[in-house]
Amino acid sequence: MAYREKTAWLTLICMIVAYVIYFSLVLSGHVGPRLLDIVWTFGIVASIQAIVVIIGHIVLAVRDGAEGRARPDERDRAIARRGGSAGYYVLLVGTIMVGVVMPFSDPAPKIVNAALLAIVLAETVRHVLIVTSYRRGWHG
Amino acid sequence: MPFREKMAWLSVTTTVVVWGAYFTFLLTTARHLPGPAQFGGLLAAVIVQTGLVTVGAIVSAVLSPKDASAASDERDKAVSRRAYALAYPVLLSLIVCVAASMHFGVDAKGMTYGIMAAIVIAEIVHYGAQIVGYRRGA
Repeated sequence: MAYREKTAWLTLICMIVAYVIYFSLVLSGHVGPRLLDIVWTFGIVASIQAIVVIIGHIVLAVRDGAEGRARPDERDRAIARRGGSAGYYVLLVGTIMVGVVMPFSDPAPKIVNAALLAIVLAETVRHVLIVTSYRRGWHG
Repeated sequence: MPFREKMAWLSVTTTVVVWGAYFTFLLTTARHLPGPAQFGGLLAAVIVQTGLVTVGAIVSAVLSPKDASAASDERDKAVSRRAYALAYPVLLSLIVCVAASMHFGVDAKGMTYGIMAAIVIAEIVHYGAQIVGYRRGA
């Protein structure tokens, strides 16, 4: 498996685990209604996720040696762009839903959580597309 | 100039003009006009921009029908993906900023306008990157 495919898997898995935990806490009512509660809980989850991803990247880079230090080639860049392109569509649709529809019907904390969900969904789609592109041998 | 580059120019120009006018209207009338009038302006901006782009696309297609009906080639796809990939982190960062702004007292209405501005800026980056891609012959 290519180094960048491994890092995409790592990021995807960490993100899914972290945000399934966060949104489960939100839905079960463990996160308070105040905006500060959202910042506090989200901050902790996002920080732990970031630390795990950084450590994972370092471990993978050390284990993969030269491949881990190599600059992304044309295919890596094309796959990254493909992922970014798909993520943009998802984020744009999510943003329109959150920014144009929800302010008329929902309170501020719900809007913030919906905006965070749109970002998480867009990032998930981006990484899923990166992983599947490597799996299927997509060349751009 | 390729049809898709023309469309990118048309889209970026109409986006800057229409949304620039709308946000100027919003900033200058925020204290005087009620919310529905400002929301009406937002709907008008969406309709005007859609109309301008549609008319521009029809005129461009009539002037060069062969180019307009051609399917996008590998270069078009690469330019498009690159543009979206550049606009994506811009949109993402701006949405995080808008979400964070609520913690500093911005209300839901302010957030709506913030999100609209984020989309407009990201779309300008997207079309700008497309134009640069075609200009550089990427």
